[in-house]
Amino acid sequence: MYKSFLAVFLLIFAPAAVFSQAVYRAGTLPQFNLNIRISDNLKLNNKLESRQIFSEREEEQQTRNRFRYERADLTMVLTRKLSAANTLGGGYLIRLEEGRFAHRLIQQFNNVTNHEYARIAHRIVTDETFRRDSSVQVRLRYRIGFEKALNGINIDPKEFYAKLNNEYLGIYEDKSADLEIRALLALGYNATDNNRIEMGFEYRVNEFNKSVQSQQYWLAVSWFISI
Amino acid sequence: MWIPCHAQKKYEREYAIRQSAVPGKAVEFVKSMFKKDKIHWYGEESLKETTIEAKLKSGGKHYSIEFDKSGEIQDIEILSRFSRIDAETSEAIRKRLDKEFTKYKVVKTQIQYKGSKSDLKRAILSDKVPAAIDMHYELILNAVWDKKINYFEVLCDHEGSVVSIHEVVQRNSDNLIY
Repeated sequence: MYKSFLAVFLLIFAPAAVFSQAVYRAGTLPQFNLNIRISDNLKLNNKLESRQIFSEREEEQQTRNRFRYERADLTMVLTRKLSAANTLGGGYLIRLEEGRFAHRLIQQFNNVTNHEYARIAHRIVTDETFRRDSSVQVRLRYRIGFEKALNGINIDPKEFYAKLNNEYLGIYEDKSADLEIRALLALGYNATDNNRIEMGFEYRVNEFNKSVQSQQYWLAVSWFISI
Repeated sequence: MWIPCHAQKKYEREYAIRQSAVPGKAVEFVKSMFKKDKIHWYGEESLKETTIEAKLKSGGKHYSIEFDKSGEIQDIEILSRFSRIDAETSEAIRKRLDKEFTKYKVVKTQIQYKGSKSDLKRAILSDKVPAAIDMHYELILNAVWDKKINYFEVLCDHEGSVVSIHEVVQRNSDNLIY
């Protein structure tokens, strides 16, 4: 298990070696999730996420290795259980970036299934982002996630697990389309079934509509509390 | 036959264990039927008891062989499909499930054998189930029961009568949804 974890890690993050020439951002991506059970079938997710950049390079510019607090997001998504495997949700995000606010509407569908040795999750999201003096940005996202206990079959309390996410985002803004691809490999700890923490590396690549793609390397830390 | 008024919840905790930590008679029994197959051993704790389970794949079939903690055989479960249950029995099960659940879908079917070591061994090795074997069907349903949307474990006897219904406690999946 640990050998496969290392192999996937190297496969995804080896491109980091080409930092020197690429347009990139590297930093930390902490996230706190408070999930509130409203009824048997309704749940409210409150997520606070921020991005801190430690190293970046923009097109035709020098590499800058200094700390920059890039942005903070507050998201609220209400989900309703459609079946034991499926949920449907809608929500709102407010973002503060460089002193300006952005607003996003979110619609999402999830399917999570238990398999003999792993859980597999599919997420389809559409969202619309509104910024002052900018066109509306519309995105269609698909994410597949795998989660596997590192001891036994199920992820029980006080157990570690591995998580792998792969997401594809179609982005449409101002009559121009782009694609973003994301991959996350994380190690999680399930303290209790209502308290989990995950730490891992996330790689993102976008701006396929330009001559040089923009790459992002994040150290992601996510904490999930359910009440 | 007894059917609970409220589906009881089923809690389980399991963990991988080494073969060396498994009672010898359990290892010996599994190896007497599956000589060359790779066996995965798990300890399983429920609210009632601690058991030991061997999981393996042989001849295209998935087997779960459960023992008590002293190594005494409890049952053997073989992964199957609902459509493979004989028509008369599956019809009886469907009629009962239609009454019990608002809506449901069978997502997993296992055939469960209980009996003496020799009868169980004969059932596995010959593919003919001896009359002394107590045979049940264990179904996992994605269902709505009493306005609850969840997975339920339903145990039926070989004639299709429902013996028990347990609501399966789902692991939190918030980290996969958001």
